[in-house]
Amino acid sequence: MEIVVECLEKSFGDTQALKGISFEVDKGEIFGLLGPNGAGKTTTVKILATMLLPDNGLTKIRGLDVVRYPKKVRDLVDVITARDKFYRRLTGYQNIRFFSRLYKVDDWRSKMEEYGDHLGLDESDFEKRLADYSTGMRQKLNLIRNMVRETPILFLDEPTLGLDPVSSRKFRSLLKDVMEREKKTVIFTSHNMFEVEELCERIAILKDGQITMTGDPKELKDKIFPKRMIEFSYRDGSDLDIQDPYIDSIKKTRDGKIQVFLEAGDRVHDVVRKILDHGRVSNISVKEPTLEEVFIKHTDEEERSENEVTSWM
Amino acid sequence: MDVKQYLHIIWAFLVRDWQRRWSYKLNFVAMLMYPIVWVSVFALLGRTVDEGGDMGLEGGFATYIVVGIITWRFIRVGFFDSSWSIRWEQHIGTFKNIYMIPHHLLVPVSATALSGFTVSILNFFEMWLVAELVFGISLNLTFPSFLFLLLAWMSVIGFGFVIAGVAVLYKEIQAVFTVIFFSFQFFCGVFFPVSSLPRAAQYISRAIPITYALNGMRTSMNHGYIPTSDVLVMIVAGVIGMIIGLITLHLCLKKALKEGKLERY
Repeated sequence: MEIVVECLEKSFGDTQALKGISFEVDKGEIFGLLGPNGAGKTTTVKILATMLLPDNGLTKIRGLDVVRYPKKVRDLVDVITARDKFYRRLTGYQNIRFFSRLYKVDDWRSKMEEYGDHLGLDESDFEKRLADYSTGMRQKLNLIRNMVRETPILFLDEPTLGLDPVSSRKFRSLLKDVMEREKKTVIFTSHNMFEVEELCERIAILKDGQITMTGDPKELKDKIFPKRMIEFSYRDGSDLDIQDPYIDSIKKTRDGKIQVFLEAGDRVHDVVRKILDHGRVSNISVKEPTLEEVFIKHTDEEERSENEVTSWM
Repeated sequence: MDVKQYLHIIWAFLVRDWQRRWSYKLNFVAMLMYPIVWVSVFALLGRTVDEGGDMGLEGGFATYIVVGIITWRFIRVGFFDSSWSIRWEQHIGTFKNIYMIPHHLLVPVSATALSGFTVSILNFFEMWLVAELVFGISLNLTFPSFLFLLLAWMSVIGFGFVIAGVAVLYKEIQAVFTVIFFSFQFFCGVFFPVSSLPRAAQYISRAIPITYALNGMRTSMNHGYIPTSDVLVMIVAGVIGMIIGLITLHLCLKKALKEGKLERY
């Protein structure tokens, strides 16, 4: 395992930011930490990046104890956040050269131009002062700073915060591309469900300092929404007349649409095939829950069960 | 960490800082002009006072005050650069990327102090040249007196580290230290002899190493030698200051790491 977190605890005064979280991240995996503001995402990243000492628990990166060997760990990891700044009066080249010297990178310029080419920044951009960079350009330069450094592990702590939707989408697509190329191990934190779903292979939902659920996006969806709905209508307005033991129920809406409810899983495709074989269909769709719906339902359920326990007590 | 790598990092800071200074052209000119104006004002003041009568100061008041402000400025720039280093990076938001280098934080802090030292050297020679060539104030700068000046600079660096550490935890503390440091001008004999201070204040003067730095520089320039006692005070203050500085920096960083105050992004 590339990253191991066991029973990690951290408090700030009376506030318990992390209440014994545990997770593992495999080499080359993109792991998402999803949670609302104040859930403990940044605290986790800061501990892993040696910027914060935990109260209890074990954190290891490539077998190195983060608390005992912070310098060695810093040689392996890097952090990118939306709040990262550069020296505004220096050019892109000057900024990257400075950080490359600190990180012992010799061929920084060729790497910078190569990655810049990939991210859509050219020499004329690099010759501009950072004061003239847009937020999106600055984030691209931040990514270049990391790529030039070539750490095998990267923590992306809400990297698209503050970016407009278009820049955010572009940045995500660049990130995805880069992550696939570089095969880095990544921990990605966000409260934006859409980008976590788009980028991460596995997700942990963090709420009030606790991991409440872990799995790949599909697993999480199936766990929270075990049913799928297939919605369609036949062109001739006829009803659905098929038998399938996996179908729970069939409803017809006022506007003539047929809704088929069944367990999530491979059977969904079989049922769709049967529906298509049965007649001429228009507008068929399988309603997949979004991660946002999963998150909201999951946190609602958690709160409800907490309230139930409280009222019972 | 090897010496070569450390020199590499110092070089990175030097280049960054000079590029940054150069990027503000007017500021760069002001940085060069300020010490010249400063020394000119005091040289003229000294001359005027000297014309009014003998104050009983060796070499005259003009020499006295010019040596005072040259030495003071040299020490001050080094002191503030080392103490401001972490706080400044935190303030502008670049600290995280500096912190992520695989070395102790002391490396970038000392590199910033050395970068500030280059400004001290430049300003020192500017002031010295203007005093000698423009105002004809003979300062008799010798190699030993220059070495003594370096020693004086080193003697305050440790205290700069103290402030660098404390400022990480208590952001506003910098203002308190700035007031304290500037009050040293009053106690250490920058503008007037310590002997002219009230008796109680003279005890405070004796407890501040900068008083000995100024005394050593003046003796060196007037008599061509540096009192051994002043050298010893500088060495002892430097060693004690460095020990206190390193311990304070270490403890403050540890506390900041625990409380999450190191990097508030």
